[in-house]
Amino acid sequence: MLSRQSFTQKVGTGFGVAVFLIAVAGAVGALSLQHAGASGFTVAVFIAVAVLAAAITAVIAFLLTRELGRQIGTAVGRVQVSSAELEAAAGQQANGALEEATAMSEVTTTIQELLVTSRQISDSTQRVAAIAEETAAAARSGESTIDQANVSIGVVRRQVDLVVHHMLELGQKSQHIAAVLEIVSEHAEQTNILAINATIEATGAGESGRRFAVVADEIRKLADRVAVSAKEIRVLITDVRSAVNTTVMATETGSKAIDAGSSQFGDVAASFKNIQDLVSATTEAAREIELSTKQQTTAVEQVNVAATDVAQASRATEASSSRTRLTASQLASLSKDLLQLVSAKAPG
Amino acid sequence: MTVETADLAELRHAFDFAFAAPPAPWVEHLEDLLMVGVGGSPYAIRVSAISGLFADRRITPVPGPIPELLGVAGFRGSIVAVYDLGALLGHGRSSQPRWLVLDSGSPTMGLAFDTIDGHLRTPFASIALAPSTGGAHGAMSHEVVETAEGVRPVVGISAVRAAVEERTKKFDHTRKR
Repeated sequence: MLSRQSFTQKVGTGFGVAVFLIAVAGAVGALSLQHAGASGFTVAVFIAVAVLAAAITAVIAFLLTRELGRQIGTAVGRVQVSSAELEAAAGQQANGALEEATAMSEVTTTIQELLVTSRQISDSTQRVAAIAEETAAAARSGESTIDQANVSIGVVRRQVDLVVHHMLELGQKSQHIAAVLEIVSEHAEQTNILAINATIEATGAGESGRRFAVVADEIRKLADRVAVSAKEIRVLITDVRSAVNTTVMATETGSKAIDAGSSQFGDVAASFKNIQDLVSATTEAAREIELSTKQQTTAVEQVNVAATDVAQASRATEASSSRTRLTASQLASLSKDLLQLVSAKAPG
Repeated sequence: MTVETADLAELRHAFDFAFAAPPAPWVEHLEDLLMVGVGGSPYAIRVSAISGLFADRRITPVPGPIPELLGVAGFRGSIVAVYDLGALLGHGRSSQPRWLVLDSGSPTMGLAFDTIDGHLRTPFASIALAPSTGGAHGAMSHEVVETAEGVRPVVGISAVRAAVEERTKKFDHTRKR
């Protein structure tokens, strides 16, 4: 590298030599005129011209050197400005590449998490599909059970109808028994009246009617017992009829409950069918989700690879930009030195 | 053996025994009574004071001298005037008395009442004079009998008959005037 001081010294030396040569040419010419003859005059002129030419050459060289220094300074100034701009641009590019590499690193991390999540979703969807198939099987089993229960309810319904029929027959027979018992009671009452009147007649017959009075008394007692038994039977028949009515009402209530239950079983069967259809749709949807998720996982894996590549490229760009900035910095420093060197040598 | 079968066997045994046993001696100091319901109150009627007991006899309403007369009914070819026993005893007119007894007087008089509660053979000692309540109604039931269910007034059939005859005479006397 040409230092500023040596450059100035050399330019100054060139200028001094030129002045000295001009002075020497003048002195030589003068001396030659004083000490030479005519031939000598020619030599002296020649020497003076030579010295003068050398002086003019030196002046021209000085002027050329100054112009050249100025142009070089201008070019070096431009190089310095460009180097600074290049350095700044390289710095910005390095920073951007660094930020981009950092962002891509974060993106890569996020994509990896997304990849894990996608795989979990895929696994969950597989489990959902399996559970949906099990649920569909359970719904089919429930529908079959409902059918069997309907058959059983039909049997129970027929048995209940039979019970109601027998109970109604029992109630009718109880009514017949009550009617017959009413006749028995009527006979007992009439027998009692007859016995009392026999007692009255026996009492009126005096001594001769006493034995008849005993018989009449026994008949009356018998009628009383029959009447008491008839009352007890009437109470029992009333209880039986009440029980029959209660049983009929209970069985009718049960029959209605069975009807309602049968209807509800129909609803339950329809619900099971609906569940089965919905579960089938769920299974289909789960399979589609599983397939989409797998595709999504593959795509995410590809994106992850691409993002990793981009991050690596960003880091390479950041490194290259750093090197460019360093080179630009060195170029700027060199331009500055050169500019100072040119500025110091150039006159004026 | 069920309870019903045991009751039936007891009934059959009692019936057979009544005809197998020797006739019971006639006890002079026993009184036969009819337990009746009159106007919702319990009464007793001596069997010895009546000549017959009937139920559900048709009574033909006829105008009469006293309002207690329900009408007339036929008994073995005889027309008998039937009176409301409840009205005569001061309980008011019965709606439709079902039972009817004939007294043993002449002419025969019928007395209608609501219910028969049963027959009672009781010692004379269980029949006593009732505390005097005064009035015509008290005179027609001046005795009471003690039963297992409580004390019942005993309707004096002769006193009832006397009261009816007296009121009928008063009516006839008033009409002749």
